[in-house]
Amino acid sequence: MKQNETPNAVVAFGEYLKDSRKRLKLPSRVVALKAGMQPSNYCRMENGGLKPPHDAAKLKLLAQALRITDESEARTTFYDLAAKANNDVPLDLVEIIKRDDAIPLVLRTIDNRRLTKEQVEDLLDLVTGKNVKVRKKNSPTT
Amino acid sequence: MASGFLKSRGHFFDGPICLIEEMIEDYGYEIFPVPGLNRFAEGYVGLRGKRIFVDEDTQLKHPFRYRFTLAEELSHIVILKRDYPAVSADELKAKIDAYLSASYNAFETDAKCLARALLMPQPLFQQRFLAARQLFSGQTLSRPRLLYQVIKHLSQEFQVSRQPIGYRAKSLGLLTEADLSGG
Repeated sequence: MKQNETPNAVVAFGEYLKDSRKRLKLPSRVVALKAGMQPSNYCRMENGGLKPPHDAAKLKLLAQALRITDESEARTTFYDLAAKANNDVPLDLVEIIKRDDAIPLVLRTIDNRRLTKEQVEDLLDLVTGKNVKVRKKNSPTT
Repeated sequence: MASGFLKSRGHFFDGPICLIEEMIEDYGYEIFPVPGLNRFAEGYVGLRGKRIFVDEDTQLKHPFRYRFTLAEELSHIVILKRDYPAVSADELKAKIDAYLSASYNAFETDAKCLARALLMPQPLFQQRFLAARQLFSGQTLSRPRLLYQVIKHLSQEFQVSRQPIGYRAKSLGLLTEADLSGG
Protein backbone atom coordinates (compact mmCIF):
# COMPACT_ATOMS: atom_id res chain seq x y z
CA MET A 1 0.00 0.00 0.00
CA LYS A 2 1.29 3.40 -0.92
CA GLN A 3 2.06 5.86 1.88
CA ASN A 4 -0.34 8.48 0.64
CA GLU A 5 -3.21 5.98 0.43
CA THR A 6 -3.53 5.78 4.19
CA PRO A 7 -5.09 9.21 4.91
CA ASN A 8 -7.76 8.67 2.22
CA ALA A 9 -8.40 5.17 3.53
CA VAL A 10 -8.92 6.58 7.02
CA VAL A 11 -11.41 9.10 5.63
CA ALA A 12 -13.14 6.35 3.64
CA PHE A 13 -13.56 4.24 6.75
CA GLY A 14 -14.95 7.22 8.64
CA GLU A 15 -17.41 7.99 5.87
CA TYR A 16 -18.52 4.38 5.89
CA LEU A 17 -19.14 4.58 9.63
CA LYS A 18 -21.13 7.80 9.21
CA ASP A 19 -23.24 6.40 6.37
CA SER A 20 -23.94 3.22 8.32
CA ARG A 21 -24.93 5.19 11.40
CA LYS A 22 -27.16 7.59 9.48
CA ARG A 23 -28.94 4.67 7.81
CA LEU A 24 -29.78 3.44 11.28
CA LYS A 25 -30.81 6.99 12.31
CA LEU A 26 -28.70 6.76 15.46
CA PRO A 27 -26.96 9.70 17.14
CA SER A 28 -23.17 9.43 17.22
CA ARG A 29 -23.23 9.46 21.04
CA VAL A 30 -25.32 6.28 21.13
CA VAL A 31 -23.06 4.42 18.71
CA ALA A 32 -19.95 5.58 20.53
CA LEU A 33 -21.16 4.34 23.90
CA LYS A 34 -22.27 1.01 22.46
CA ALA A 35 -18.83 0.64 20.91
CA GLY A 36 -17.18 1.42 24.23
CA MET A 37 -15.66 4.62 22.88
CA GLN A 38 -15.50 8.22 23.98
CA PRO A 39 -17.99 10.15 21.81
CA SER A 40 -15.30 12.67 20.85
CA ASN A 41 -13.05 9.88 19.57
CA TYR A 42 -15.88 8.27 17.67
CA CYS A 43 -16.68 11.61 16.01
CA ARG A 44 -13.04 12.07 15.11
CA MET A 45 -13.05 8.62 13.57
CA GLU A 46 -16.15 9.40 11.50
CA ASN A 47 -14.45 12.54 10.26
CA GLY A 48 -11.26 10.78 9.28
CA GLY A 49 -9.26 12.15 12.19
CA LEU A 50 -8.66 8.84 13.91
CA LYS A 51 -7.79 5.41 12.57
CA PRO A 52 -9.96 2.37 13.34
CA PRO A 53 -9.06 0.27 16.40
CA HIS A 54 -6.23 -2.22 15.84
CA ASP A 55 -7.67 -4.47 18.53
CA ALA A 56 -9.96 -7.15 17.08
CA ALA A 57 -12.35 -7.10 20.03
CA LYS A 58 -12.75 -3.32 19.89
CA LEU A 59 -13.30 -3.39 16.16
CA LYS A 60 -15.92 -6.09 16.58
CA LEU A 61 -17.65 -3.99 19.22
CA LEU A 62 -17.73 -1.08 16.79
CA ALA A 63 -19.22 -3.33 14.12
CA GLN A 64 -21.86 -4.55 16.55
CA ALA A 65 -22.70 -0.98 17.55
CA LEU A 66 -23.51 -0.38 13.90
CA ARG A 67 -25.46 -3.63 13.76
CA ILE A 68 -22.96 -5.18 11.39
CA THR A 69 -23.26 -8.84 12.25
CA ASP A 70 -21.05 -11.73 11.26
CA GLU A 71 -23.77 -12.81 8.84
CA SER A 72 -24.31 -9.42 7.18
CA GLU A 73 -22.90 -8.45 3.79
CA ALA A 74 -21.60 -5.24 5.29
CA ARG A 75 -19.15 -7.20 7.42
CA THR A 76 -16.64 -7.69 4.58
CA THR A 77 -16.78 -4.02 3.61
CA PHE A 78 -16.37 -2.90 7.20
CA TYR A 79 -13.34 -5.07 7.92
CA ASP A 80 -11.71 -4.43 4.56
CA LEU A 81 -12.02 -0.65 4.95
CA ALA A 82 -10.69 -0.84 8.50
CA ALA A 83 -7.73 -2.90 7.34
CA LYS A 84 -6.96 -0.48 4.52
CA ALA A 85 -7.08 2.45 6.93
CA ASN A 86 -4.65 0.69 9.26
CA ASN A 87 -2.50 -0.63 6.41
CA ASP A 88 -3.09 -4.09 7.77
CA VAL A 89 -4.71 -7.46 7.11
CA PRO A 90 -8.47 -7.47 7.79
CA LEU A 91 -8.87 -8.44 11.43
CA ASP A 92 -11.75 -10.79 10.76
CA LEU A 93 -9.39 -12.82 8.55
CA VAL A 94 -6.78 -12.94 11.29
CA GLU A 95 -9.40 -14.42 13.62
CA ILE A 96 -10.48 -16.96 11.00
CA ILE A 97 -6.88 -18.05 10.38
CA LYS A 98 -6.26 -18.49 14.08
CA ARG A 99 -9.41 -20.52 14.54
CA ASP A 100 -8.77 -23.21 11.95
CA ASP A 101 -5.42 -24.87 11.17
CA ALA A 102 -6.68 -25.83 7.72
CA ILE A 103 -7.02 -22.21 6.58
CA PRO A 104 -3.29 -21.35 6.63
CA LEU A 105 -2.70 -24.63 4.80
CA VAL A 106 -5.15 -23.60 2.09
CA LEU A 107 -3.59 -20.15 1.78
CA ARG A 108 -0.04 -21.52 1.60
CA THR A 109 -1.08 -24.12 -0.94
CA ILE A 110 -2.69 -21.45 -3.12
CA ASP A 111 0.49 -19.41 -2.84
CA ASN A 112 2.90 -22.32 -3.42
CA ARG A 113 0.96 -23.63 -6.41
CA ARG A 114 0.80 -20.13 -7.85
CA LEU A 115 -2.90 -20.49 -8.61
CA THR A 116 -4.26 -17.93 -11.02
CA LYS A 117 -7.10 -15.62 -10.09
CA GLU A 118 -9.47 -17.70 -12.20
CA GLN A 119 -8.38 -20.91 -10.49
CA VAL A 120 -8.95 -19.38 -7.08
CA GLU A 121 -12.41 -18.31 -8.22
CA ASP A 122 -13.09 -21.86 -9.38
CA LEU A 123 -11.94 -23.14 -6.00
CA LEU A 124 -14.32 -20.71 -4.34
CA ASP A 125 -17.17 -21.92 -6.51
CA LEU A 126 -16.29 -25.49 -5.58
CA VAL A 127 -16.39 -24.65 -1.90
CA THR A 128 -19.69 -22.81 -2.22
CA GLY A 129 -21.20 -25.68 -4.16
CA LYS A 130 -21.53 -24.02 -7.56
CA ASN A 131 -21.33 -26.42 -10.46
CA VAL A 132 -17.96 -25.82 -12.02
CA LYS A 133 -15.06 -27.78 -13.40
CA VAL A 134 -11.81 -26.72 -11.83
CA ARG A 135 -9.43 -25.39 -14.44
CA LYS A 136 -5.98 -26.89 -14.54
CA LYS A 137 -3.06 -24.57 -14.86
CA ASN A 138 -2.56 -23.23 -18.40
CA SER A 139 -5.80 -24.69 -19.74
CA PRO A 140 -9.16 -22.93 -19.95
CA THR A 141 -11.31 -25.85 -18.68
CA THR A 142 -10.94 -29.57 -18.07
CA MET B 1 -41.59 30.06 15.62
CA ALA B 2 -41.05 26.79 17.50
CA SER B 3 -44.26 25.16 16.32
CA GLY B 4 -43.51 26.16 12.73
CA PHE B 5 -40.03 24.73 12.93
CA LEU B 6 -41.18 21.50 14.61
CA LYS B 7 -43.90 21.04 12.02
CA SER B 8 -41.41 21.50 9.20
CA ARG B 9 -38.99 18.93 10.60
CA GLY B 10 -41.36 16.02 11.09
CA HIS B 11 -41.85 13.93 14.19
CA PHE B 12 -38.86 13.83 16.52
CA PHE B 13 -40.55 12.96 19.76
CA ASP B 14 -40.63 9.80 21.81
CA GLY B 15 -43.66 10.51 23.94
CA PRO B 16 -42.87 13.85 25.59
CA ILE B 17 -39.14 13.49 25.00
CA CYS B 18 -37.78 15.57 22.16
CA LEU B 19 -35.20 13.58 20.19
CA ILE B 20 -33.04 16.67 19.89
CA GLU B 21 -29.91 14.84 18.70
CA GLU B 22 -31.80 13.17 15.88
CA MET B 23 -33.51 16.45 15.03
CA ILE B 24 -30.20 18.28 14.76
CA GLU B 25 -28.63 15.58 12.58
CA ASP B 26 -31.68 15.48 10.35
CA TYR B 27 -31.35 19.28 10.01
CA GLY B 28 -27.90 18.70 8.56
CA TYR B 29 -25.71 19.54 11.53
CA GLU B 30 -23.22 17.26 13.22
CA ILE B 31 -22.89 17.07 16.99
CA PHE B 32 -19.23 17.15 17.92
CA PRO B 33 -18.29 16.57 21.56
CA VAL B 34 -15.09 18.24 22.74
CA PRO B 35 -13.26 17.28 25.95
CA GLY B 36 -12.68 20.24 28.23
CA LEU B 37 -14.86 22.65 26.28
CA ASN B 38 -16.76 23.61 29.44
CA ARG B 39 -13.80 25.73 30.54
CA PHE B 40 -15.00 28.17 27.89
CA ALA B 41 -18.56 27.29 26.94
CA GLU B 42 -21.21 24.57 27.15
CA GLY B 43 -21.51 24.61 23.40
CA TYR B 44 -21.16 26.65 20.26
CA VAL B 45 -22.00 26.47 16.58
CA GLY B 46 -19.37 26.06 13.86
CA LEU B 47 -21.16 27.87 11.07
CA ARG B 48 -18.90 26.88 8.21
CA GLY B 49 -18.64 23.19 8.97
CA LYS B 50 -22.27 22.81 10.11
CA ARG B 51 -21.28 21.45 13.47
CA ILE B 52 -22.56 21.98 16.97
CA PHE B 53 -19.69 21.59 19.42
CA VAL B 54 -20.63 20.51 22.94
CA ASP B 55 -18.66 19.78 26.05
CA GLU B 56 -18.10 16.01 26.25
CA ASP B 57 -18.28 15.86 30.02
CA THR B 58 -21.69 17.54 29.94
CA GLN B 59 -22.80 15.15 27.24
CA LEU B 60 -21.85 12.10 29.26
CA LYS B 61 -22.62 13.15 32.82
CA HIS B 62 -25.35 15.77 32.64
CA PRO B 63 -27.79 14.56 29.98
CA PHE B 64 -30.53 17.06 30.80
CA ARG B 65 -28.15 20.02 30.55
CA TYR B 66 -26.65 18.51 27.42
CA ARG B 67 -30.06 18.32 25.77
CA PHE B 68 -30.78 21.93 26.60
CA THR B 69 -27.41 23.03 25.26
CA LEU B 70 -28.15 21.26 21.98
CA ALA B 71 -31.57 22.86 21.78
CA GLU B 72 -30.07 26.27 22.51
CA GLU B 73 -27.41 25.93 19.81
CA LEU B 74 -30.01 24.70 17.33
CA SER B 75 -32.10 27.73 18.25
CA HIS B 76 -29.18 30.03 17.45
CA ILE B 77 -29.00 28.48 13.99
CA VAL B 78 -32.74 28.73 13.40
CA ILE B 79 -32.89 32.37 14.51
CA LEU B 80 -29.88 33.35 12.41
CA LYS B 81 -31.32 31.64 9.34
CA ARG B 82 -34.59 33.50 9.88
CA ASP B 83 -32.90 36.88 10.33
CA TYR B 84 -30.19 36.46 7.66
CA PRO B 85 -31.47 33.90 5.19
CA ALA B 86 -29.06 34.54 2.33
CA VAL B 87 -25.86 35.35 4.16
CA SER B 88 -22.67 33.29 4.04
CA ALA B 89 -21.17 31.71 7.17
CA ASP B 90 -18.31 34.23 7.27
CA GLU B 91 -20.66 37.21 6.90
CA LEU B 92 -22.89 35.76 9.60
CA LYS B 93 -19.97 35.42 11.97
CA ALA B 94 -19.00 39.02 11.29
CA LYS B 95 -22.55 40.17 12.09
CA ILE B 96 -22.59 38.26 15.38
CA ASP B 97 -19.18 39.62 16.34
CA ALA B 98 -20.44 43.13 15.67
CA TYR B 99 -23.49 42.75 17.95
CA LEU B 100 -23.47 45.24 20.75
CA SER B 101 -23.74 43.71 24.19
CA ALA B 102 -27.45 44.52 24.50
CA SER B 103 -28.27 43.00 21.11
CA TYR B 104 -26.22 39.93 21.89
CA ASN B 105 -27.98 39.44 25.23
CA ALA B 106 -31.33 39.63 23.44
CA PHE B 107 -30.08 37.10 20.89
CA GLU B 108 -29.10 34.72 23.70
CA THR B 109 -32.43 35.23 25.48
CA ASP B 110 -34.36 34.53 22.28
CA ALA B 111 -32.34 31.36 21.75
CA LYS B 112 -33.09 30.13 25.26
CA CYS B 113 -36.81 30.81 24.78
CA LEU B 114 -36.85 28.95 21.50
CA ALA B 115 -34.86 26.08 23.01
CA ARG B 116 -37.43 25.68 25.77
CA ALA B 117 -40.24 25.75 23.21
CA LEU B 118 -38.54 23.10 21.07
CA LEU B 119 -37.97 20.75 23.98
CA MET B 120 -41.36 21.43 25.56
CA PRO B 121 -43.92 22.28 22.83
CA GLN B 122 -46.85 24.24 24.17
CA PRO B 123 -49.87 21.94 23.91
CA LEU B 124 -47.91 18.92 25.15
CA PHE B 125 -46.31 20.84 28.03
CA GLN B 126 -49.59 22.36 29.16
CA GLN B 127 -51.25 18.96 29.11
CA ARG B 128 -48.44 17.34 31.11
CA PHE B 129 -48.22 20.24 33.56
CA LEU B 130 -51.91 20.05 34.36
CA ALA B 131 -51.74 16.26 34.66
CA ALA B 132 -48.78 16.51 37.03
CA ARG B 133 -50.52 19.15 39.11
CA GLN B 134 -53.57 16.88 39.34
CA LEU B 135 -51.31 13.99 40.34
CA PHE B 136 -49.82 15.84 43.30
CA SER B 137 -52.82 17.93 44.31
CA GLY B 138 -54.26 15.01 46.28
CA GLN B 139 -51.35 15.24 48.71
CA THR B 140 -51.33 17.80 51.49
CA LEU B 141 -48.64 20.10 50.18
CA SER B 142 -48.03 23.80 50.36
CA ARG B 143 -48.16 25.57 47.00
CA PRO B 144 -44.37 25.90 46.73
CA ARG B 145 -43.94 22.26 47.65
CA LEU B 146 -46.64 21.18 45.18
CA LEU B 147 -45.05 23.16 42.38
CA TYR B 148 -41.63 21.76 43.27
CA GLN B 149 -43.00 18.22 42.91
CA VAL B 150 -44.70 19.12 39.63
CA ILE B 151 -41.50 20.62 38.20
CA LYS B 152 -39.43 17.68 39.39
CA HIS B 153 -41.90 15.28 37.79
CA LEU B 154 -41.92 17.17 34.49
CA SER B 155 -38.13 17.34 34.50
CA GLN B 156 -38.06 13.54 34.31
CA GLU B 157 -40.87 13.39 31.76
CA PHE B 158 -39.28 15.86 29.35
CA GLN B 159 -35.68 14.96 30.25
CA VAL B 160 -34.92 18.63 30.83
CA SER B 161 -33.45 20.34 33.92
CA ARG B 162 -35.82 21.92 36.44
CA GLN B 163 -34.88 25.53 35.70
CA PRO B 164 -36.03 25.50 32.02
CA ILE B 165 -39.17 23.66 33.13
CA GLY B 166 -39.97 26.49 35.53
CA TYR B 167 -39.29 29.18 32.94
CA ARG B 168 -41.39 27.38 30.35
CA ALA B 169 -44.28 27.06 32.76
CA LYS B 170 -44.04 30.75 33.58
CA SER B 171 -43.94 31.71 29.90
CA LEU B 172 -47.17 29.79 29.37
CA GLY B 173 -48.86 31.39 32.37
CA LEU B 174 -48.87 28.20 34.39
CA LEU B 175 -46.63 29.67 37.08
CA THR B 176 -46.08 33.18 38.35
CA GLU B 177 -42.81 35.02 38.93
CA ALA B 178 -43.43 34.61 42.64
CA ASP B 179 -43.82 30.84 42.19
CA LEU B 180 -40.47 30.69 40.44
CA SER B 181 -38.67 32.61 43.13
CA GLY B 182 -40.19 30.36 45.76
CA GLY B 183 -42.51 32.97 47.19
